[in-house]
Parts: sequence; structure tokens; C-alpha cells
Amino acid sequence: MGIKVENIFYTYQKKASNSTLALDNVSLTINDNDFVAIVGETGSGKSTLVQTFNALLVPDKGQVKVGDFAVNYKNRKSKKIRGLRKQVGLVFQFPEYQLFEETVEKDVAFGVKNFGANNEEALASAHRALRRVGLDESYYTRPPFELSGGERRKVAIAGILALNPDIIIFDEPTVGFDYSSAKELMNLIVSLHQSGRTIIVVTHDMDLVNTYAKKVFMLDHGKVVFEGEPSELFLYARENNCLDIPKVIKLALALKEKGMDIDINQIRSIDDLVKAINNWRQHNG
Amino acid sequence: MASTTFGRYSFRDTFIHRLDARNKIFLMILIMVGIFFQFHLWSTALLLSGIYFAALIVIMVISKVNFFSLFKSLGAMWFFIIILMVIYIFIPNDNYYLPVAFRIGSLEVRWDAFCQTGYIILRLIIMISLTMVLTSTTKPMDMTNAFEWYMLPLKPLHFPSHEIAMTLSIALRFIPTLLDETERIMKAQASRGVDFNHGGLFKRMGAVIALIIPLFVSALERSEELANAMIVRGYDPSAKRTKYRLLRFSWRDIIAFLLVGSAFALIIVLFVYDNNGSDLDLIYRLFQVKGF
Ligand SMILES: Nc1ncnc2c1ncn2[C@@H]1O[C@H](COP(=O)(O)OP(=O)(O)O)[C@@H](O)[C@H]1O
Ligand SMILES: [Mg+2]
Repeated sequence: MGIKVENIFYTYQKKASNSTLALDNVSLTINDNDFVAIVGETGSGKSTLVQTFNALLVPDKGQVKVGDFAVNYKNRKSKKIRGLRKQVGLVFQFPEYQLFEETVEKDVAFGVKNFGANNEEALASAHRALRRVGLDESYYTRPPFELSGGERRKVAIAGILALNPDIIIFDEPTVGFDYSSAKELMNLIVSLHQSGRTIIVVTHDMDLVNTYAKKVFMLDHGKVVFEGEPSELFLYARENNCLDIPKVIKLALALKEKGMDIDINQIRSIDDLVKAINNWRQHNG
Repeated sequence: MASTTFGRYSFRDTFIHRLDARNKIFLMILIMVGIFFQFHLWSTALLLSGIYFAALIVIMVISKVNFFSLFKSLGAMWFFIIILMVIYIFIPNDNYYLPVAFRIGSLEVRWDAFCQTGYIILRLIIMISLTMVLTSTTKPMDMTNAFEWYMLPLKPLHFPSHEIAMTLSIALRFIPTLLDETERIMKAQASRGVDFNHGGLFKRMGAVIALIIPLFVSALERSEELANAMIVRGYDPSAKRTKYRLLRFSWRDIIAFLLVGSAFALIIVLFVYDNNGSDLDLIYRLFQVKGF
């Protein structure tokens, strides 16, 4: 399923004197089975934008078309919104703070039951989702509050996966994770993408963008200021002196300037760069 | 999602914002005591409620507090209203004197039951609104200092007035944070299919649990963090301390004091008159004229 954002505006605290225009005429298209990254400084409107995708926030103007449902002011009380929330899974920043049931499996099954499944179905989905995030049977009946922060976050993510959404949005999923947990989580996200889901990741991690994203949108003060592939983003970032360009890209760009023929588009990791350098060496003796 | 901003301090330069916090707290308590005097004659009771309500509106306008969201959330009081109604209808009361509205079997339901419910609800709304005026026009720090000032006389008795004031101020300081947190958790749970606005009692209860527990967990974690951060920076509850901002009484406080004070005196006079058992009840007469 894809998402088409058409000229949306969103203002927080509309009536108050300190109202903030968080989204300012945003338009963008995300296709079915895309792997999209949304980047931008803190406060640029990323979280606000993704919350319109499952109608947690309804744009003041414009609309977000998700499949054949339009999230707009007119439909803000539509009965279809609940269905939309099942199709568009949103994993919040620090999702570990939403757990509340006595056991891990109950917490993961909670959402499934909300959408009408019976107990057995819900538990079955919960177990499947828990295995998928790498938590085995030994976790099923433990209280979530006894787990480590990383494990709790996995439980929360499983809670969304159990709903089997078509589109999954992760709002800064790796913040506060150590290297290996982050890597593990990204592998999970990649496998979700490979099984046909549309993936949207809000992130500050440019290495992550470079390695995984097929397409990037950059927000600034509620406006889309860039859209394109990661390699193009880094060229844009270098020109505008913003974002933290990955070291491997900086190195590749520097080598390119020294006359080495490197296609920045192909550099997703250090291995890619090594390959490109070897290639160049073979061709140039 | 509902905006949860009412009762939050917001800076405006108004007469009420500029009142001394100690005075504001005192006058607020005075008004509340006045409001809670129980009048027996319905005409007096309802007339007074009307006057209180008008005064509340005036206070709201002067203090430029946005009460839109408050009145919206009052819709949730219907449950309370029904419980009160049931209590007043089914518990016999010999003091009721208005005509019978209708009968349920052999039970006579008098108009008094409705007046009583309305009277309580109206006063409750006024009290909640007044508290909200206080918290949205007074800086949390001033509020704390005022509480501490009131507890000064207890200091020689080793009463932990500073600790209590500090606890209060931290609690107040955390209200906005908790409101933000509430909104965040509500959204997270809504993404898991929780519907906070629809469904029967049982469903709504489930929704509230899905909100309350994460809220408590995060509040406890936060409080532990804060306590540790304070200890690390050498906080000592028993240390002597100075204040940067002092509370000050001004001409505004005298005006407010006189206004509220005379209103309070008037209420006392009325109260005495009411309890002397006059039978001049206009509402009673109105019902008779209309032939109920
Ligand atoms: N609940 C809220 N109430 C008021 N303002 C908000 C709220 N959430 C976000 N904002 C404001 O909206 C803007 C965009 O915020 P957000 O979408 O969270 O940015 P990002 O996720 O890119 O950091 C910021 O200026 C922020 O202060
Ligand atoms: Mg954000």
C-alpha cells in the first residue's frame, strides 16, 4: 500500500498565542513496498508528519491518501480510521513506555484483540510477532516491566507487528540502542521490507539512511526541502552544510574529487567503497 | 486528540496574574467556603449559584484564561450527575418541600431532587473552574512560596514545611510533563486500536487502564531520576535558603481582598437569614402559581 500526501498543513495549539505551524504545505508520495527515510532537525515536523499517516493527527488543510482512504478534515471522525490504524502501524519513539499488561504475550496480544480477534488468535499472532523480534517462549509470561530497556522496546515493536500492518512507520527506532541491538533491529526492519511491507523510518542516523533507505525526504521547519536518493541527499547536505554525512560517503566524495571514478550512488557501506576502489585499481593498473 | 492544556500556567499581564499568590490562595479558599454554605431555600440557593457563576465568568474574562477546553471536558460529568440524581431520588428526605414531579410506584419524586443535583453540580463546576484560575494565573514557584509562607508558624514545631512546599512545587512542575506524557501514551495506544472516545463502560475502563499504568510507570521512573539528580547536585532539604523573588502585597491585593471579603460577609448574612426559617421561597411560589 502507498501513501500520497497532498498539500497538508498542521498547526499545534491553533487557538493559543503560541501556536506552532508544524507542517507547512507538505506534499510527497510513498509507493507500495518503498523503504523511505524521513530526516531533518529536531522540531522540523517529522513526528507530526508520520502521525498524519494513521490519522492520529488530521491535517488542518489538504489530505493524506492511504490506500483508498483519505485522511482529511472531512473524514476526521470516520469509522474507517480504526481500520487504517491496523493497516498503518506506527512505532513511537521510546515505545517501551506504552506497555501495561501483566505479561509480555498479553501486552502484544492487546492490540490484536482491540481489532476484534479472539483470545487464541490474538495469542498466536502475539507469539509469531515475538519470535520475529527475537524473543523466545521464555519471555511470553514474564512481566514486561522486569525486562531491560531494549527488550521492552522489542515487545512494543512486536505489539505493532502482531497487527500485521501493510505500512510500518518507525519514529527514531534506534535512539538509545547499542550498536548490536540497533543492527538487530535494522535487520528486522529489512526483513519486514523484504516480505512486502512499506517501511518508513524517521531517523537522525545518516549511516542508517545510507545503508537501508531507497528514498529520503528531508524536512525543515515543516517543509519538504529535499527528496531523492540517499547519495543525492548527501550532496545536498554538503552544499547546504547540514546533516551528519556518513564518513564513508565523505571519503568517497574526497576520493572522487582526487580523480577516482566512483559512483556515489553505489556506496552503501565500507565494503562497497572497498569494492569500488579495487575496481578502479584494476581498471587503472 | 483532546488538547490537555487547561489549568497550565500561562503568562498574561492581568489584574489576577499580578495578585500576590498568598492573597490569591486565601481568597480562593474564602470563596470556596462561601460556595459550600448550604442554603435551604431553593430561591436563595439557585439565585446565589447564578451570582457565583456570573462572578466566575467575570473572573475568567479578567484573567484571560482559556476555558474552552474546560467546558468541553465537563461533558464527562454526566455519569456523576446520574449518580447524584439516583441518590437524591431514592434517599428519603423530610426537608423536601417542592411539589411532586412524578411517581415511581409508591415513591414520590419531588422537584427538590433535581434542584439538589443541579445545585451540587453547579457548585462543583465553579470550584473546579476557580482552582483552574488559580493554577493558570499563578507561577508554580510563587504558589510554593505562598504555601511555605502559610506553614511558617509551624516551623518551630519541626514541621517539614520546606519539604512539603518543595514536594508540592515539584508536583505542580510535573503537571504539564504528565499531560504531555498522557497525550503521547494515548496516541501510542490509539495506534494499537484503543478507542478512547467510544464504546461502553467496560471498554472505556480498559482504555483508561492502558493509559494509567504506563503513566504511573513513567512518572515513577521520572521521580526517581529527579531525586537522584537532586542528590547528585547536593540538595539538602534542611539547608537554609534565600529567595530570588519575594512575594509582595500591592494595592491590587487590597482591592481584591475587599471585594471578596464583602461578598463573603454578604453570604454569611444571607446564610443566617436562610437558617432562620423564612417561608419566602420564590421557587416554591412559582411552582404553586404554575399549578404543579
Ligand atoms: N503536542 C505538541 N504541542 C505543541 N507543539 C508541538 C507538539 N508536538 C510537537 N510540537 C511542535 O511542532 C513542531 C514539530 O514537532 P515534531 O513533529 O515533533 O518534530 P520532530 O519529530 O521533527 O522533532 C516543533 O516545533 C514542536 O515544538
Ligand atoms: Mg520526533
